[in-house]
Amino acid sequence: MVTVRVSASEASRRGTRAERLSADQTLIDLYRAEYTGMVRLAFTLIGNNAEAEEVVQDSFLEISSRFDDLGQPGAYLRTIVVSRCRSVLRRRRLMQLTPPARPTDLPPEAESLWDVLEQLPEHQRIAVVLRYYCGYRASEIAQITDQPAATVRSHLRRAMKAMRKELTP
Amino acid sequence: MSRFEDTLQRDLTVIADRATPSPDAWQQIQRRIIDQEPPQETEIIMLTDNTTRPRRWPILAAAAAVAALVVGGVALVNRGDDANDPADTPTPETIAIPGPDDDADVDTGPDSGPDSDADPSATPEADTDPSTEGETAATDPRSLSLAGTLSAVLDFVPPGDDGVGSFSGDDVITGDLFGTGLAEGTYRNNDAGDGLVGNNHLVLDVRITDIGEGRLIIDEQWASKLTGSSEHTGVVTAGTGDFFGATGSWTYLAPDGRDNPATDKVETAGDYSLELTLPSQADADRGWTVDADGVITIGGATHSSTTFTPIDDGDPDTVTSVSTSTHTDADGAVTRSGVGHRVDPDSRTSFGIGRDTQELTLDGFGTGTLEWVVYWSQDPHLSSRQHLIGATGAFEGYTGSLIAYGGHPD
Repeated sequence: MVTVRVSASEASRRGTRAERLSADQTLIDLYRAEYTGMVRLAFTLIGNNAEAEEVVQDSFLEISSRFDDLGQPGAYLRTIVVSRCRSVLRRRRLMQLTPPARPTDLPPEAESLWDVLEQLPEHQRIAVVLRYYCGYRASEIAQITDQPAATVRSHLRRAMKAMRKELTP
Repeated sequence: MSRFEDTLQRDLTVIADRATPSPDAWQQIQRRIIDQEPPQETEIIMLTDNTTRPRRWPILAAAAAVAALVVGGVALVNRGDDANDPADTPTPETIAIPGPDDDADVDTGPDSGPDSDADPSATPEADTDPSTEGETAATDPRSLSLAGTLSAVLDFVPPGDDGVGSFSGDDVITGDLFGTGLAEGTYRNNDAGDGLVGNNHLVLDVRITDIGEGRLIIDEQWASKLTGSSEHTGVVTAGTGDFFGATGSWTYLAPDGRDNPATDKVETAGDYSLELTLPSQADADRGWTVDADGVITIGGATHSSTTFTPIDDGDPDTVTSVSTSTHTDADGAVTRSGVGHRVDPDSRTSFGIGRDTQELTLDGFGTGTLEWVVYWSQDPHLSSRQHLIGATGAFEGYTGSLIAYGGHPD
């Protein structure tokens, strides 16, 4: 018995997949509903527009392969984006890279906040952004970041203490 | 919500509004989804006569119950009668040290021959040489192409003052090759500042259908982007067990590495490809054994197990040790000592690079020293690779290398 593997031609493969994508209105709907918001969230977390877009696009790529199995694709997308942003922050720390440059057109108050965010440990930065930019409760942040709620509250307490010290005159 | 929290909320929104999503992002995503689609394959199954059935690789002629060991002994080959003349400078090509592809009893000296070689150690080796007995064992190296998935959980340690960090972790490998392993290496920021580059030392305990089990040691270099995808290329530097004498090339592509906040470790998975060449069956059947006391017998020679004496070098992560061992040729004792190795005491497998200065006296040849660079790993399987970087006395001008593989003592 001999097994022969036959590969489909590249052209037909692309055509088939493209047709499937065009027909996948649900994924397009998710993109329209979430993409801009996810890029803003990622940008607030990691401070670099190009990396933020790459993170979100990678997340869409991942979600596209298992879209049919997801009950709440929006929530799953948010979890992936936050996880990937944490990976970027962690590698940046491990590599001891210079933080991204601050946008030039920020008002002074936001400039100060930007600098303080850069100093926060990644867990604390993520907790603060999810709490005060996205408006999630600690229990919801715990689900997104796969941490106990008590740990999230602890991150928030420490972050707020550090930020008050730096930002309050 | 306090006034401070209100301000924080407002300023975070101001920062978020500075993000500028690309207008053609959907097209980019669509293109990438198409590009990452794996080739569609269809299996066509055909019935054919068994006599025409192709063999993927030769089946092992005999079960390798004795874990194979290829030699770490030193075979200094007789240069002929002129070797006893101290005024005669030896020619460089007359040191032969058996490796996995070498025939251990082949004399390469200009005047060598079965009758002129007074070394009795050659006799038992000659008896085990399939080529001299006319056996029909396969003589061609066996080449394999293997592919599958490797997943890893890695623990990264930030860089020190020298900018070099380290990592370690566990691997699980599936596909044509199946097993587990250890990863350990270093990394640093790459020159462009947009990712990491590093070296990795993989010690994989693996099994290949129709071949057997053993250990593969792979050294690789890798590069990753900030977002975590990484590309690795490497070579097989040693094999033990049923893979002794293995050589090969290795690639590993991991599309993404993900931080797990619960463990604070990086989890990664991707596809590997391994081109592996194993020695011929005739070479595989020749080996050496280790007895319960750790004494290795290689033909007519023995090699005692190495003992390590740790020395506190002030570095809590490593231990510098000194080892001594004794190699006894059938025609006389050869003692070697003074090995310096760096050992990771926390690793299940220790490996390192060191130097070994060997004072050697060989009957009929003379006395001198050999200085080796040693790359080794030590575990139930033993593996080391040595390269001669200096020789004095009777061995001045010689170059060579030594490869030792091992298996579980029977």
